[in-house]
Amino acid sequence: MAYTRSSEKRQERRVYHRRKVCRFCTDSNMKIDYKDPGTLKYFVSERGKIIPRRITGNCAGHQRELTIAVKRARAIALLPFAVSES
Amino acid sequence: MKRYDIIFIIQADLPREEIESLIENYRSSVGDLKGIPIKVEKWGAKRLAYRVNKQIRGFYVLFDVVGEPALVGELERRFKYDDKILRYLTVRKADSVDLKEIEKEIAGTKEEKTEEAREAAEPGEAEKENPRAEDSNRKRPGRKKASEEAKPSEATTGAE
Ligand SMILES: [Zn+2]
Repeated sequence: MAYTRSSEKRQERRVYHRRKVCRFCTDSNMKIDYKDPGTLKYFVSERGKIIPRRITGNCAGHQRELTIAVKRARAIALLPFAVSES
Repeated sequence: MKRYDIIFIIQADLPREEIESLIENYRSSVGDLKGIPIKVEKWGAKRLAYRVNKQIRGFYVLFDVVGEPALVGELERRFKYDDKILRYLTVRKADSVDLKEIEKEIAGTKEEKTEEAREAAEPGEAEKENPRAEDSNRKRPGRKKASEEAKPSEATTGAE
């Protein structure tokens, strides 16, 4: 029982590519832009929700910036507000 | 004078000429409202992330403009009453602008327009080697300089 739990946890981590450090601080070519859903997509779940920074590893400043960008992208239909289960 | 990004989405099922004339109309109204259009980007018809007015596709247009806040108000008012506009969004990019710099930038974009392959020739932009291929699969290239925030203008051919 305990064994299966821990293996599940490890899987979850892999889904979101957990990183120790903020990707926007490390990678200078990575910019937060509301016009670029391709980059923003990495930081929203399959359901369309913004992934918390405890999972993505983003720093507070970049997470704040990212949140605004995602919300703008949603306003112009570049990103979904919610993805319903099909 | 402030600098804005004004994005609006036109119904994509309209004939191409109608879309073009609509864009031209709004572009000229920026001038009428004492604004300066720095550049007009047509992203082309894209799939919407959710349905808007029962439409699944929309033609995205970005205006990079300089003007007074009243310009944005009036333009948004016109968008609101235009049934062909599905969505619009204005983002303020700068609170004050240097008109000399703007003039230079406009001159730069005009040159770019005449030269088709300018994106490939641009220095310091290794990750974007093939602008044509990028167009076809609608992938957004990585940003270039921090000062040039907006995405490079690409005259898309419309259909995906
Ligand atoms: Zn950061």
